[in-house]
Formats: sequence, structure tokens, C-alpha cells
Amino acid sequence: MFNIDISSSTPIYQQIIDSVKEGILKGLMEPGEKLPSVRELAKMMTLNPNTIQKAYQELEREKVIVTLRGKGTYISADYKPRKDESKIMEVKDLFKKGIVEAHYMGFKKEDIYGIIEELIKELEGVESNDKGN
Amino acid sequence: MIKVTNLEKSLGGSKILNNINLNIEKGSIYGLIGPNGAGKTTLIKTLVGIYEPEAGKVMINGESIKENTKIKSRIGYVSDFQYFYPNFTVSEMAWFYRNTYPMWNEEKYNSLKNIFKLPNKKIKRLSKGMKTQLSLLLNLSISPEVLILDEPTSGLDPVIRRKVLNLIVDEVSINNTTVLTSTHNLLELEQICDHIGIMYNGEILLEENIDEIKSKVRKIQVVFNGTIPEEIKNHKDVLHIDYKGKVYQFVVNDNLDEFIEETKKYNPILLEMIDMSLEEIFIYKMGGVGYAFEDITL
Repeated sequence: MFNIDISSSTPIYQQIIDSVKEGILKGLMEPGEKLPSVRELAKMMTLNPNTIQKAYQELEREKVIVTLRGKGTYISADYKPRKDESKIMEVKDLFKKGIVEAHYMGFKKEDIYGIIEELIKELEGVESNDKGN
Repeated sequence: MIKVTNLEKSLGGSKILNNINLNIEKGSIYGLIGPNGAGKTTLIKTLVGIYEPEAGKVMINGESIKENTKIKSRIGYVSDFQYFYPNFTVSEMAWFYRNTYPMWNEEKYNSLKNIFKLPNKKIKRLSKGMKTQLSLLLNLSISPEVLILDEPTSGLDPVIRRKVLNLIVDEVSINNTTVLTSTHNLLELEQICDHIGIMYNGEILLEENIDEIKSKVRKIQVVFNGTIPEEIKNHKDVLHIDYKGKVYQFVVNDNLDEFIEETKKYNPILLEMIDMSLEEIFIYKMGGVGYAFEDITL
């Protein structure tokens, strides 16, 4: 569920945030599902609890998860993705990097559209399969 | 929680610690790294009150540790060599700690004992790794507010090593204990620490928040159409430049967005981020303060 690469240059708290978001998108985590507590996750992954706390705080600020006092942390039931300006820029940059990379590998415009469609299908596929089971 | 100001210490006529300043917040896990002879153990021994500072101060929880049994009874200290009574058994040593430390937690001791599974033999019959485990077991059982560990994972097998790291992490989760640990293993520090201090020749050369340094120091690969603009070459935030043919690699120290904006003005053909390990970051950072990393490690 949490895919952490300690030696990556992406800070560990950012990797936790990304893992949760990706998990939700892929349908591996569902709205209303309980997340491990900071302590449980720290022990499970042998990570600094402060790092996990920081990731959870950020996810809570973005309303991806909610913490119910005394009960635990859950994936928001009514999570609606928000498109704020800085995030849009970030996402655009990510696409750009991919496109540049693809260009250097000799991909044509049409090939790139194809890849994108394929990826969307793949992600949606995982989601609907999950619900089907 | 731990505050060290302008600490100096000489041993046998030579200066071991030179103007050390440290500030470790409550609940933080601070990793101290440096080559043999850098002064890590001397610093640790001064922190726990085994050595007296020659100049400067060591304050724990706002109080000086000198002759302060109240503070010392809440400091767990796992030294690099274990000094136990060799003819005591494990239980007898626990009895000694139980009667010495007022906040001894019998319940915690019993559950930790089950985790470590140490044989109840005389301590002189235990291996080095077992003695380290015993020291951890006893020092976690005294309900420490501060845990000071001198290479706690050296000499441990991978399974026990993981167990020890998990116990440290769990201790911080539950009790918000402040931890200072020294090690030679950078990856281990990266995993459990939030702050890292690099020690060399009796000084702390660099002190960094790991998340911050990872987001600040980045490597970017750029290809310009033609020659590299002077403005980019001499940019104030560039820590290091490497190039192979037309491909330039910049290590940027800070203000990454600003640097990218500046670079984009020259219409680069390629501009992309490259992954960089903490070790690499340190190499460039140390280079920035005039040291080669090979001097620092190994």
C-alpha cells in the first residue's frame, strides 16, 4: 500500500502523500476506509513518526483524509479533487517532463496521445475491477 | 530539549570538541554522523555528563546536567562499549537498574524482554551484540525522556537491527522521547531521523532537516541551444556544474523555482530534474564548505 524509497530525493513525507493519493485513484483505498495510525505506520515501515505525522497533516489539509478524535484516521468519504493553481502547474510540469522524454525516444505526437489513453484505461481498469469483486 | 552551546573539550592535551552548538527539539530523532575520531563519542559522553565541559554548556530540558540526578535518571544512554558487572546475570542487572532509576517500568521491561529473548546468563557470557541489546532493553525500561545512543546498531544482525530501529521509532511515537543517535550508516539515518548533523575534526560542519535539504538541493539537467549563458553559469544558487557535451547538470542549493524560471528565459531544449541521494547531496554540500566527502566518511 505504501511504496517508500528511502534513498529517493523525494522527501519521505511526500512519498507517503503520493502513495495515499495513488492508492485512492487506483481504488486500493476506498473513501471511509481506515488508515493505520501514525504509530502503526511508523512501526510497519520503520520510519520516523514525525515524518508520518507531517504527511497526515498535509493530507488532512488537502481534505484527502480526516482524523476523528479518539477514533482514527480515515480516507475522506466526500473527497473531491480540487484544482488549485500551483497544483495545476505541478501536474503540467510532470506531463511536460514525460513528453520531452518521449520526444527524445522518438515518439510522435499520436504515440504520446496513445500512451496517455492507455494509462487512463489502465488506472480506470484497476478501479472497476476492484469494485466488481 | 537538548541544547548545547559553544561546547569545548580537550582530552590528554588535545582539543576534541571545538565550539559545538546543537539544538534538538522534543520528540525529534537526531542522527550524528562522522568518521572515526571525529569526536562523536566525546560529544555524547559530555552530553550525558560523563565528561565535564571545558567551556560552554549542556542543557537538557532547560537544566544543566551537572550533578543533576533528577535529569540523569531520565536519560537513557547506550554506550559504544557496555560497562556491566560481568558476574551479574541479566535479571540481576535489571534488579540493579530497577533500584537505581525511580521511573523504572516493570511492565515495559517484561514486554521488551520477550522481544529481545536474551538468555538469563552471566553478562560475561553474552556476545557483544547481546550486551548492546541488554543495554537498550534496560535503558528503554527506565522511561527515558532523552535517549542517547552511541552506534546502537553496530554489531547487530539485520533482524535485530530492524527490531532495534523499530523500538526506537515506537518509543518516539508513544512517549515523544527525544533521541540522539550516532552511526556510520547514512541510509539508516535517512530512514529514521528527521535531522542530521555531520561531525568532522571536533566540529559540527552541517546540521540539516532531512526533508528540507532534500527539497532544497536538487539536480537539474539542461541542454541549451548553443553555449551556456554566463548568467546561468554564475547563478548564485548553483552549487556545482558538470557537463558532458551539450548536457549540463546543475546542483542547485536553494530557490529551485527561481533558477528554473531564469533558465527558461534562454529557451533550453531540455530541462529535467534528476534524482539525487542524500549521500550525493552531502558530497556537494561538503564541497560547498570546502571539504571533500571522502575526508568525511570511511
